[in-house]
Amino acid sequence: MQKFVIRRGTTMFFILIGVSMLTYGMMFLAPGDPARLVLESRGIQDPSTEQLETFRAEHGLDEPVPVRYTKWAWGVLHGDLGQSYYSAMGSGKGSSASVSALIVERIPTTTELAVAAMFVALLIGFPAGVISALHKGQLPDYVSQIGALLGLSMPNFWFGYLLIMVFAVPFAFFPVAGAGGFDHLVLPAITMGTAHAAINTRLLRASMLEVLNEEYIHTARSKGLPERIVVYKHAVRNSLIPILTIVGLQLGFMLNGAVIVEVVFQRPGLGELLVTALLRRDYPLVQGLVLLVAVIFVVTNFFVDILYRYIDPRISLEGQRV
Amino acid sequence: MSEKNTTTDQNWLEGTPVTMYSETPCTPSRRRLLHLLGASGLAGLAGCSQTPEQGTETGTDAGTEARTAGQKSATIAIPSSVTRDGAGTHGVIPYWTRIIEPLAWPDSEMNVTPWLAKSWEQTGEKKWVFTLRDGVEFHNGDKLDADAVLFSLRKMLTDQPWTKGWLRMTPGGVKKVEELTVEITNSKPMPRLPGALAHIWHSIQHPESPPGWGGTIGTGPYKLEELRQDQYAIVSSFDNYWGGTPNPRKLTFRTIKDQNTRDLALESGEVDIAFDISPSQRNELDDSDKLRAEVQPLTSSVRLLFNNTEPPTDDIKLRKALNFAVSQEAVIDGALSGIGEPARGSIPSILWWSAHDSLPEYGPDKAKAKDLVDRSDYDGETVHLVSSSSPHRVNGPTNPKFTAQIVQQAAADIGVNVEIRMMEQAAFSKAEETGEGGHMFQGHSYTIAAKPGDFINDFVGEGTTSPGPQEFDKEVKERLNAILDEGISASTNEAAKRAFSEAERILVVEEVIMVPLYYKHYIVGQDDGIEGAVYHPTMRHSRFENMTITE
Repeated sequence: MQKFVIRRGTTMFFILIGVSMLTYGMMFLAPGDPARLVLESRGIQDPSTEQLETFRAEHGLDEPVPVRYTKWAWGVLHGDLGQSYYSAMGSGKGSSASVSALIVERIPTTTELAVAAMFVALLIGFPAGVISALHKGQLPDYVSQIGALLGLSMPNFWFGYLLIMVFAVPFAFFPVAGAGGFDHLVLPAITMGTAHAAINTRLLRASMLEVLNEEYIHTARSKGLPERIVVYKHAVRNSLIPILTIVGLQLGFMLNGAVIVEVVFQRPGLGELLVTALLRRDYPLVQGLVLLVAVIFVVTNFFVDILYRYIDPRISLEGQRV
Repeated sequence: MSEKNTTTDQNWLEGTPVTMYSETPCTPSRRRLLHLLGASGLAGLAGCSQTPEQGTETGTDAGTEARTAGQKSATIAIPSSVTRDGAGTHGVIPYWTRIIEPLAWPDSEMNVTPWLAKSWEQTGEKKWVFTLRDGVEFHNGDKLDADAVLFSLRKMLTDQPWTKGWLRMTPGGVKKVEELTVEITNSKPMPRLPGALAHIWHSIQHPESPPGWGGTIGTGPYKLEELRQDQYAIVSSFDNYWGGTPNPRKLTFRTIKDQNTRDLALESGEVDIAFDISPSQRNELDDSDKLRAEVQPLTSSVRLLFNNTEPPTDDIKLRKALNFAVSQEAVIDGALSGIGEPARGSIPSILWWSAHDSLPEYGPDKAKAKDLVDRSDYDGETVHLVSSSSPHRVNGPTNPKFTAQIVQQAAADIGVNVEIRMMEQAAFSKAEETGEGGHMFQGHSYTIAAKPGDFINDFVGEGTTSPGPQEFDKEVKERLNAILDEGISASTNEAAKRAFSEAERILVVEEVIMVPLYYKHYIVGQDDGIEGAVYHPTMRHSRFENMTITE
């Protein structure tokens, strides 16, 4: 275990360096001048050359990219993600334009949505996949497959608006927009969770069908074990490995913020923040968020690898079957 | 709400130990673990509902309260944030919220009216005396006086030096004469200073207003209660407001950037007023029993700017041909659902200094356009039309892609090949600035006050640069500079309008530097039971302090 942690920790470190270097470089290739955009956002419609140069000097934009990157990376190693180009006006208890503060402010909104959406994805996907596999070629299988196809085919933004029009506009069961309460969470979670549920259904079905044909399942049945035990104790458990991989990735995606869902439901989360930062060329904020995204992915996958071992004791953390 | 949840939690906590520990021995099985995980997941989600004010005040509740409690509050959905980044002078930029006010105010017809200043007088070519309204109170109970005006204007001119050019004023040019009298000395003649000061940017705040945001002490009808950037602002009425006690008592401004979501929030009753709703929603609102639509002109226009430095659009005949080819009516009917006014120039007709009436209508006249193309040097090259696809700019083009396609079709009809390039705003700004990769740029102008920056290129700007791939002969440039300077310095509005109109004529007719498309209008959707909201051509200057809300 210790070896595994050290090895993965080193890999993670290099992955993070690679991701940050790549995004840092790419960001500066994109057209757009943050100095002009920021000054225009302050109401200065035609900033003077002097104003533009002053801004660039204040924010280190006049330095070569490698120098800027090194300074940024040094700051990160010291726990400082830098300052946003745009000043923040927060919740009334103090103002901060620090990238960390802006990110921390958005994390709860995104986390609650990710957890709720994952809950929906598993709540629908898990039973649907199992039932579909157990009734292959029968009505429940067709229903489940059609449902999964629908879930995959419906664009998020369209499904979100549809849910609003059905449940929020005529009946006011749920609010249309905003964040803050359980009622604000239901429609976005369903919107985001449905597509992932569809993937889970199809994946679990395929995995279950494969496992149900394994010899140990036939052995279990021939031993006279009740079907319930055969299915849920032996088949389902062994079908979970591929699901776990995909669920880990899904959780990563969800925690990074579902941009479309956040825009449709006006949820102030990380995805919305990232898009805004990108469009405004707020480089420090983009860089901080991308780093967070990378950290979430590598950490999620790290824990998924550990979970493999728990689900299937034959798998060792060193990558061999025991 | 929190009280109720606490009670529930306590009951849950009281009940659980009995079943967990008294009946079953504590042997954790996988199933029990899963149950526990599920329960804690649900509890966690339920816990989300107990988040602070943000959920209870800005969600559905505020809008519902307005209807159930009569005139207590109203919720207004706005397309942008109430805050503005980097605001150095005012903690919260007073757009929308009416927390702070300027000396003068632009009314709905865009005429300048006295506001915190009850009168003003030009006492010299560059001197003005403003007399303040007596009995105006700040939110902290102090009286408005000359010191507050000095503090506010000097702070603005110092913190935001670019305003010196806008107002032709320096911090030293603002002096106290008496308790309620202020003298302003301009650095250059500025006959329309009251109009420039009517911009809400130049609002007056208390000298003890803390730096930064959130604590701004103003004189407006509403005081800031709570602010969350890009999400909402809650304001409460200021009972000692000089204009009378405001109604409703509380206003919640919710930022809903997505237009479809704004439409739906209004339809569901979650908000009482929604600004800038989709043009396509207008008929639906007109047919509704509970909602109605108000259409207002904006002080913005949308135009196609030519890059006149590169072929093929460096050929004036081709530029003219495109003007004759494009039908403004077709753009408005097709891309804007009929909401807008065909433009002849850049400055919207709602502004007193617009040259609209004196500018010619080009057409559409396809035959003339085709003839011009034939006589031009155009040889089938591709003309690149660049447009911003950014959805968040109220003053930007509406339905930009569709507009571009209509222009593309009009150009194709006269044998000009147009290719559309959609860019996000930052890339568009850069392309517009450098002219890289584009011959036509679908852009917009901001025209709240008559100032040179509203024209193409900043000919007489004081130390400012204006981007754009437009170049003019030295003689034309000097002529434009002189005309614009004359307009700014003209002592009467009539003389100023003559000068500005001439400048616009040169740009539109002589130099043909643009295809004017339309003067923008916007639609406000509102609950039919609301009366008294005053919608403004700049949208963000709209007023809500005299509203009545009935069931």
